[in-house]
Amino acid sequence: MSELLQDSPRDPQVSRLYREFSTAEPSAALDQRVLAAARTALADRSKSVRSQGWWQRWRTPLALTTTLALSLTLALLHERQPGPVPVERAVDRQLPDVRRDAPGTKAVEQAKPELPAAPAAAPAAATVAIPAAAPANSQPETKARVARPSLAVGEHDARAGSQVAAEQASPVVADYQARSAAPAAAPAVAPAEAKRESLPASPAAKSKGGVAGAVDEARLDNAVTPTPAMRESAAALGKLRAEVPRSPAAWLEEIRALMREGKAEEAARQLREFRRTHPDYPLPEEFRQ
Amino acid sequence: MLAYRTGDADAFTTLYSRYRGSLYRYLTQHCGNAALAEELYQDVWIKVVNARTDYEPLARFSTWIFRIAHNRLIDHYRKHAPQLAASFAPQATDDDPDALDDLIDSLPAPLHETPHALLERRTTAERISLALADLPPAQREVFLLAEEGGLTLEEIAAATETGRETTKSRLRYALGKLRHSLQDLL
Repeated sequence: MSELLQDSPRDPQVSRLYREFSTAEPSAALDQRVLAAARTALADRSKSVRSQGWWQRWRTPLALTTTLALSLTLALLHERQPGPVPVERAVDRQLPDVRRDAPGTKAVEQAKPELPAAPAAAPAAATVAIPAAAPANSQPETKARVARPSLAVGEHDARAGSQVAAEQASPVVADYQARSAAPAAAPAVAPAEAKRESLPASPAAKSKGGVAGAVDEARLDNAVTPTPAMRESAAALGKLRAEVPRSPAAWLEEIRALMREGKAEEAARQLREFRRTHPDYPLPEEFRQ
Repeated sequence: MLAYRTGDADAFTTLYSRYRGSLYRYLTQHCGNAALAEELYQDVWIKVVNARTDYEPLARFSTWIFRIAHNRLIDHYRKHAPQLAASFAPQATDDDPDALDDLIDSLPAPLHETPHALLERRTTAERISLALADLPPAQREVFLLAEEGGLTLEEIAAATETGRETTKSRLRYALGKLRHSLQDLL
């Protein structure tokens, strides 16, 4: 740069002389005219902006805001839109209808107050409800299969579910379930199976010493005595259990039930299988020994 | 200029006060007519005002405004003295003595030919103006852009759309002629 400046022809004496005597300046009037023109130009601009009106001034930000809001709404709707109906939801939805429709279920409800009739009514519920569920719903085969065990032990779901829910409330378990989507896919079915497992094994003696009067659900369950039909349905349920994925909590509940029933060998086998299937699942204290 | 573009009127006042003298002298010395210079001067500033929305600081403001002034002068000469306008063309052969003489002959009537100017000629300022007026327009312009605008050779070349070496040559000739004309004042 300095080379370029040095390259430029210069004559300091001529420059000094020129600057010393060339002092002409525009008149004040000319200055005023120019400055007034500049201010007028600015005033015209602001006036034109003001005269644009509300719509012209705000249409761009308004359009942008609307577009943004629409996009956000669509994105949220798309996110919340249900995909394929999960198995447990299908079960939940089918359950009340099937209960209402199935004659076997009605029989159970009617039999509740009459304790002696319970042993007969309960197997009926177990056997009749299964075929009743299929025609009642036009769901795919898998959903129907899932629905059957739930129907059979529908009355036990709430209690088993509450136990499982307590277990699932643990942060470690919740974390595990968040990581493993598959076991969590059937939380409603698995508790039902847990109770189903204990159903045929319930001591019938309790029902013999049953008290007349108000009978709660537990007594009704205990009143069930294993019959050939019930064994058959239990076998079918066992088959179904193998097909339907169980949640870890429900599985543990099953193992617990086996231990309570004194089936230590079966419980140990189930526990080994459980450990193989869910190696990361935190085991409750009772299973660690 | 950017501040003025955003609506700051005071910024324009500052800008104006910075360039008013140099721009006015550039035009006055160039066209040799105060009334015409005033008209051109006002036109140049109006152009600046109107061009504020499109203004981009690609070069120094002085380069930009003197370029506007240069173009305004060319427009004027094209309208009123086409042969003079042609002398601003980059192809003008400044180094050719005959061509220079032709250009000098084509200059507008110098101020010293009027009675009023005869009086003022006695002053040094008039001597300088005379010396400048005697310069070929292209050389005078280069000299004025260098002195009044403070532009470098590159900036003058860009403003007048000529080559750097041509500009340099013109400036050298202008300085030499002025030195020769004003020798007794130096």
